[in-house]
Amino acid sequence: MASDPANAEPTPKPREPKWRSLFRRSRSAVFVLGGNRRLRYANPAWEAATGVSPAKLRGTKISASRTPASPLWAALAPPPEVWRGESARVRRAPPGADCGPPWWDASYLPLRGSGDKILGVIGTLDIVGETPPRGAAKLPAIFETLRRRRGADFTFDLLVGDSPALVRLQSQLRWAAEKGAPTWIVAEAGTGKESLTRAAHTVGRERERRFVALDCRGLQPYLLEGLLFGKGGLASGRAVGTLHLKNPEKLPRDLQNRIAEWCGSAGGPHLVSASAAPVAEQVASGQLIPRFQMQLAMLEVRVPPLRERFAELPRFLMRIAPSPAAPGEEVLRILRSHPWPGNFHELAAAWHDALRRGGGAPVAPEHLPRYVREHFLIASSAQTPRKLPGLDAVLESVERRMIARALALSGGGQAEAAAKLGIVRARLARRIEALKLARPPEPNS
Amino acid sequence: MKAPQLVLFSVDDWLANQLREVAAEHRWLFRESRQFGAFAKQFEERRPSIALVAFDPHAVRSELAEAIALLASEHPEVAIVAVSGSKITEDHLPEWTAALLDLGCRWVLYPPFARPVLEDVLSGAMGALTERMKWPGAEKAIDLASGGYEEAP
Repeated sequence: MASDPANAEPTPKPREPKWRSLFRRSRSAVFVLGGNRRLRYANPAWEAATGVSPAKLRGTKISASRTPASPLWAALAPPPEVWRGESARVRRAPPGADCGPPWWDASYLPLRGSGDKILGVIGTLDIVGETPPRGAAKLPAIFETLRRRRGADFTFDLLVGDSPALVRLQSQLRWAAEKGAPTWIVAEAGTGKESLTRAAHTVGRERERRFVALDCRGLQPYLLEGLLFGKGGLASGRAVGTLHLKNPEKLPRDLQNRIAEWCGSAGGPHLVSASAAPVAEQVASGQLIPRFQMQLAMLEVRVPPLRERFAELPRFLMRIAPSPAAPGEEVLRILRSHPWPGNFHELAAAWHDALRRGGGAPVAPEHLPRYVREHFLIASSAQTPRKLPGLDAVLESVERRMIARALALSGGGQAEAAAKLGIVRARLARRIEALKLARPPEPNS
Repeated sequence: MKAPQLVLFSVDDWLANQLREVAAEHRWLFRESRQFGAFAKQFEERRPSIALVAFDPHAVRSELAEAIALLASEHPEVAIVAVSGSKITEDHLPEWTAALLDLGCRWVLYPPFARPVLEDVLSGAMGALTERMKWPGAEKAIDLASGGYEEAP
């Protein structure tokens, strides 16, 4: 007899096993694998951690060598020793990430059956070093304080001087920074290009944004490309106010184009390039794209090398590192004799070296580096070759001495002297007259 | 010229192990330091130097930022490379990179970075430093009194 379904007693819901209830309420992520490596159970905490519903994965084989490979399997698969019966704990990057934090710390406990057969594995998952909320990655306030403090260290005092060229250079750099005019600096290495650009940045219209200096020499182009245009590169934000690019001609042309586009766009940085040669020369040699000359070098300035500014040497030395006493005249004379191809970098190295050798005493010539002193010695001891006397003067001098000698030997007798000299007497008389020699008295007179 | 050196400031060993190998391959001196005072002292002797500073953007200590700024202003000839120990979200990256470069760093690295990248950054920076410290006059004269060239150990 069939029972009436309407009046039938409701079937009692099967009771959840106690272990399952424990795992369900647990805040730790727990999962259970069967002996065949398939997922049997995973608790809600596991679902929250992985973001995957266990219902969808139940029965799926969890193995790192599974095909097609899944980052989730790779992150969850027990290491081989677990299937040999040993418990293990491993740290792995979350699926899809190359490294942490956060890290996934997985622990595995193998369940042994009779004959050491592995019946299954209980795994737990802890997420350590969780990525903090976005706000936590914000720049600390100290960066802003330090930026202002550092900016104050850079002034135009490197360009202080009476020379009209220096006064003009300072006002040109200031003007370029205030107007945001792209500038091309021509200068030798070590002349202080970066310091001057930074000083201009601190008084310019971009001073509230960052100053970034990049040297294109030596670095692989892909690194610079990544830094500027890669994921999260500088070009993707508006943080950079002034971009000081040293030797842009060393970059590949496609990267030069991208930089030109970025700097020419609205919100792009104020570009100040620097190189040893004028922009026109670099473009003519094919190393630089013409766009740099047309759009990114509105102003071209030249920073003079140190050897053209020896008048300010004492001030530069005191700025590099104050010495116990002002440098003496002899020290300055030696320093001025050197050409300083490395400019301020070389001078700073030499001066620091001299101070160290002086051991707190005022710098003396012997404290200066040997190669600088040697250069001075060579320069000061060089003899200018004497001018050769004319042939006529030499012959006249020889003639004068021979006639005087012959007259002396002949007791003033011109006839005898002429005979000794192998000339006739009349000629001797003419020569005595021409050379204005004192006419000796004749022996007979 | 004295041998180039790599000086690492880090509180753990994860970067030091990689750097030791790179330094040995290039015959650079490798030094590491866990205290700011000792770290800054490594640069008193003039030689091509790269200072690597490991930092955690999620917990930057103000002393670390101050140490970078101080090193950059007292030793402008030293190339400072900041190496982040953890990732930063993409939208914060430009701000962080620009701030560190503005502070005086020459380069900033974020994970994940492979060893060849680290090597390219360091060898590029060291090459530029060595070039900068090579003056024609200084090269000709071997000044035994000032130490001369020093072989890496």
